[in-house]
Amino acid sequence: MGFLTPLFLIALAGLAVPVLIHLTRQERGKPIRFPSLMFLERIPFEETARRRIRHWLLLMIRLAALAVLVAAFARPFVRGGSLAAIGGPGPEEVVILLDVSYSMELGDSWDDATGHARSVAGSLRPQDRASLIAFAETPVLLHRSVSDPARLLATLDTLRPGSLATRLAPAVKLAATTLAASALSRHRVVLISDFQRTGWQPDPDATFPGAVAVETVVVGDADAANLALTDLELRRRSEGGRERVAVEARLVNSGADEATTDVSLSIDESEVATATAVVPGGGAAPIRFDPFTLTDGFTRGEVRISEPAGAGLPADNTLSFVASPGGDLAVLVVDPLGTGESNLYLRGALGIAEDAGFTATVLTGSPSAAQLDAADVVVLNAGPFPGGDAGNRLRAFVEDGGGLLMVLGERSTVPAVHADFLPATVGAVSDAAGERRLGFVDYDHAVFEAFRGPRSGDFSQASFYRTRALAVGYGQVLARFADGAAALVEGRRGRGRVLVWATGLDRFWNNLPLQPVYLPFVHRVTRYLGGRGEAPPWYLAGSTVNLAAFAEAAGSVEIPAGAAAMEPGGGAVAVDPTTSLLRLDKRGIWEIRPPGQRPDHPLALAANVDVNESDLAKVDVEEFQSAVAGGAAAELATDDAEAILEVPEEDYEKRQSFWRYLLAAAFLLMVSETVLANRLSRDRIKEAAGGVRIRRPREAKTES
Amino acid sequence: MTRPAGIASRASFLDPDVLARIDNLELVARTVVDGFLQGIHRSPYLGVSMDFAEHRPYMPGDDIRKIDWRLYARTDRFYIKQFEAETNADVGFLLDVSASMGYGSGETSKLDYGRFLTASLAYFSAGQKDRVGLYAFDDDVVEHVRPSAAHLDKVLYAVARVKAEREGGWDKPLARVANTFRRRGILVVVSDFYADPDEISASLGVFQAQGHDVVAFHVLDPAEIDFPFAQASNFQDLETREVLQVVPEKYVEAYRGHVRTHIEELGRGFGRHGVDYVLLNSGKPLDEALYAYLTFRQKSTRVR
Repeated sequence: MGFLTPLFLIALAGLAVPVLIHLTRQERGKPIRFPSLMFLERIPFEETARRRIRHWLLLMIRLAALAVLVAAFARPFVRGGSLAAIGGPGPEEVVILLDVSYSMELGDSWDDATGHARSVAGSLRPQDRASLIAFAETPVLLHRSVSDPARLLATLDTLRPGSLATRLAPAVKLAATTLAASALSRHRVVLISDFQRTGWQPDPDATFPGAVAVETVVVGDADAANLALTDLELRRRSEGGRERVAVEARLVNSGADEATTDVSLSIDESEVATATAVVPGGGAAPIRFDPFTLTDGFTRGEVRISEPAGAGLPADNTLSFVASPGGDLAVLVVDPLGTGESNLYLRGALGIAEDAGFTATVLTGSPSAAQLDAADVVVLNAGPFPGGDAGNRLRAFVEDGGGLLMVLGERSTVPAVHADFLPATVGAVSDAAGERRLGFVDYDHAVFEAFRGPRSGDFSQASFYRTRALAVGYGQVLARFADGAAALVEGRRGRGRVLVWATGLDRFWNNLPLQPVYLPFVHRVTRYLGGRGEAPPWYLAGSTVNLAAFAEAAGSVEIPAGAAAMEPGGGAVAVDPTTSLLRLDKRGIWEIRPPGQRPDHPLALAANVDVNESDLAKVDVEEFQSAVAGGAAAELATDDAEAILEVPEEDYEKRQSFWRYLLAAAFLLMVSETVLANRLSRDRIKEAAGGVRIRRPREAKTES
Repeated sequence: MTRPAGIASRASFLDPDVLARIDNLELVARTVVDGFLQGIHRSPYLGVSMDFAEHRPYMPGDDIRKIDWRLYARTDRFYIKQFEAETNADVGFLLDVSASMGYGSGETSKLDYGRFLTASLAYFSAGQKDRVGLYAFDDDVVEHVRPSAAHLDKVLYAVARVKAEREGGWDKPLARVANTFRRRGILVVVSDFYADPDEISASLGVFQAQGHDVVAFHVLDPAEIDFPFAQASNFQDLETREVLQVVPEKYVEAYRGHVRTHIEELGRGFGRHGVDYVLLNSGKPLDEALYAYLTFRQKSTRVR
C-alpha cells in the first residue's frame, strides 16, 4: 500500500476541526434586543452539554468523510497482492510503426493505414503509453512513450507519404530500442505497412523480444497495376560545336494488361517533346526523345508519363534530371619518349569518349605558351617536370586554372625550384615484393565518387608492380596503396589543380589499363583537372549529397554565400557550411540559392524515387513475423516481466484508480451526514422548544 | 395656533409616529393638547378652572373684577369668588428612563412615547396654573425639576434630553421623591413597570396615602404585548444584557397570558392603593392618555 501524493495526508490534521468546532461552538446570530426577559425563560444549554459529544454517529460520519476525501487526494495504490490486479491488465507500451514510403500512396493504402493507426491510438487506456515511428528508408521517432492519444492523432494528421522507399529492418530496430527503454510491463508493436518485398532484408539485429506482441497491418494491393519510369539516360553528342543531349527513358508495366500512355519531356519547365508508349503487361518499353541542345548550365529536365488519377503510384511517374553543357577538353600529353607504347592506353582512353570528348595532343618536348593557352589539361606522362621558362609557363598555366597530371615513371624528375609546386615530393622507384594493390580510395572525392556504389568499379583488382615513392607535402592523398604509400595526391595552385600519380598509366608498371575502371578513371581525372567535372544528372531520393563536392564536380561552381537548399514544392533547408551535406528526402528539383533570389539556372540537383519501391510484391507476413520475433529475451514472460521490471508507482495508481472509489465513498458519507444532521437538528429544535419555560414575574423577582 | 406642517387631522396630532418627527417638544405638547381640546370642543379652562370653590371677604389688592356682585346685593358686603382654577397644585412627573424604556418595535420607542405624554400633560397642567416638576429616573433620579409654575420650560428641556441607558429600579427614586415632593399634589408616573406588581403598587400607594393623587401610566410597546416573533432566536435583555435562546413558536400564547396577568395584577394592586392605572400602547395615539388624565384631574379636583 502506498500513496502517490502522500503530502496530502497532512490534511488529516483537519480531522480535529469538526471536533473542535463541536466543542467550542458558540451560539451565533445577532440577538433580538428586548425590553425585559422577565417573562421568558432560557433554553437550558448548559456548558457541560456543549462540551459533551452527544451524536457520536454524526461525528464519526463527518470524520470518515474527511478522512476518505484526504485519502482520495493522496491517490493510494497497492503494489502487490490481488488488489494490484484491479483495473485490468497492466499498462501497455505500444509502438505504432507507420510506413510513409511513397508506395503508400497507392489507392486507399494511406487512408487505411492512418485509420488503423488512429484506432490504435484511440484505444489506448489512461495507463497505457504509445510511441509513433514513421519510417521509409530511415525511421523517425515522432513520439516517445506518450500517454495522450490526442498528440498522436494530431501528428497523424500531419503525416503524408514521402518520396522514399520502404526499409523495414531499421524501423524494427528502432521500435525494439524504444520498447527496451520502456518500464511498462506489456509491450506491443503495431506495424502498418504495405510490406513490399523490396523493403525487407532479414537482419539478425532486427528482432523483438519474445514478450513483445507484434501486430502487422497489411495495406495495399500487391496486384495493382502500375506504370513506372524506372531509368533515365542522357546521351551527349557534340554537333557543330554545340552539345546535343538525347534523353532515353525506360517504362515498366507491373500490371497484367498492356498499357498505353503518353510520355512527355520538359526542359526548363517547357514541354519540348511527347511520345506515346505501349508497354506490354508485365513488360518494359524504352522511350527515346529527339536530342535537344544543351546551352545553359543546370538545365532542368523532366520526363513524365500520364497515368490515370488513382491508378498506380504517382511518385514513379516522373523522372527529373539536371544537365550542364560539357564540351571537348584539350589535353596536352607531354611524353619525352614519344613512342606509341608509352601512351597507347592513355591516348586510347581519351579518344573513345562518347559524350563529351577529349582532344588529345602528344608532345615530346616542353609545351609552348601557345600550346598551353589552347590546352585545358597537361599530362606529364612519365617525364620530367620542365625546368626554366617552360617550367614557369607550366606553373602559370596551372595557377590560371589549368590542370596538371604528373604521371610518374623512371624519368620523372622535378627541378628543385619547382619542388614546392607539386603537392608531393617525388622519391625513388619502388618495386613491390608481391602484388601491390590500392588499399584506400577517397570515394567522397569527385574523381572517385562515381565508383562509390557497388559494382561501380573495383580498383582493388589492379596490381601495381613498380611505383615512385611520394612524400606528401601540402597536398591531399586521394588514394593509397595497401601498404599506406600515397598513390594519388592532389594539390591546388592558384585556380588550378595538380595531381601526382605515383605510377604509370601504361602497362609497364601496373595492369590498371587492363581493368574496367581504367577508362572512367582517366576520364574523370581529366575532366576534374579540366574543370569540366560532370555532376550526376539525378540522385536517388534519400541520398545525402556533399554539396561542395557536387559543385566541384559540376565545374567548380561556387555555392552562393548564404545559400539554402530550396525543396521541391517550396520550403528551404539551411545548408551547413562546414559539412555542406544535404539529404534529398523529396523527389524533384532542389535549388541551391539564397532564399528570395531567383537567378537564371541556379545550382540545382534532381532527386528521383527509388524505383525498387514501385515493385508492389509483398513479403510473406508470417515469414516476417517469425523473423522479427523470438529474440533473446523471449523468456521474459508477461508475469515475470512485472516482477523484473520496476513498474512505476504512477502506473499502479493509474491502473487501480482507487481515488475514484474513495471520492464516491466520501460523497455518500456527506449525503448521509446531511440527512442525519437534518434529522437530528429537527429533533433538537423540538427538544429545545419543549424546554422553553415562561417564568412568572414573581419568580423572576425572587430570582433577581 | 399654527399647525405644524403635514398635520391635517385630529388623529395626526395624537399619532406618536407623527409626533416623533417634531423636534420641539413644547410644540409637540402644544399641538397635542390644543388639538385634543379643540377636538372635544372644550376650553382648556372651562372644565375645571371656572368651577366655583368658595367665597372669601374682599381684601384690598384683590381684583375688583372677581367681586361677587350678587352676593354684595344680598349682603351688602364684598366677597371674592374663588374658583378651582386658582387653587394651584404641584404636579410631579415621574418618568422612567431605564434601558427597557428605550425599546420600540416601530418608529416610536416607549421613552419617546413617555416623553410626548409627559410633555403634553405638563403643558396641559401648566395651562391649569399648576406647578409642574419632573423626576426622571432609572435606578436613581437622573433629572429633577422642582415643581414651579415657571418650570414648564425646564421640564420640557429635561424630558427632551433624557436617555434610556441604565438598568432600572424603584427604591432609590421613590425615596428621593418622598423626600422632595412634600406638598400635597399630583404624581404622574410613566413607566413600563417591569417589577413586581404588588411591590410597585404598594410603593406608589404610600404616596396616595400621604395625600398625593397618583396616576400610573403603564406604557408598553405593541411587540411586548403581542410578541409577534416567530423564529427561534436569541433575545437580549436591554437592561441586564442577558441573552436567552427562545423558541416563540409554540409559547407565544403563554407569554401573552403572563403579560395579561401582569397587567391585571398591576391594575388590581394600584386599585387597592387608590392609584389610578392607565395602560398605554405606544403604538396608539395619545387620546386615551389625555382622556384618562382629564378624567383623573376632574376627579382629583372635586375631591380636593
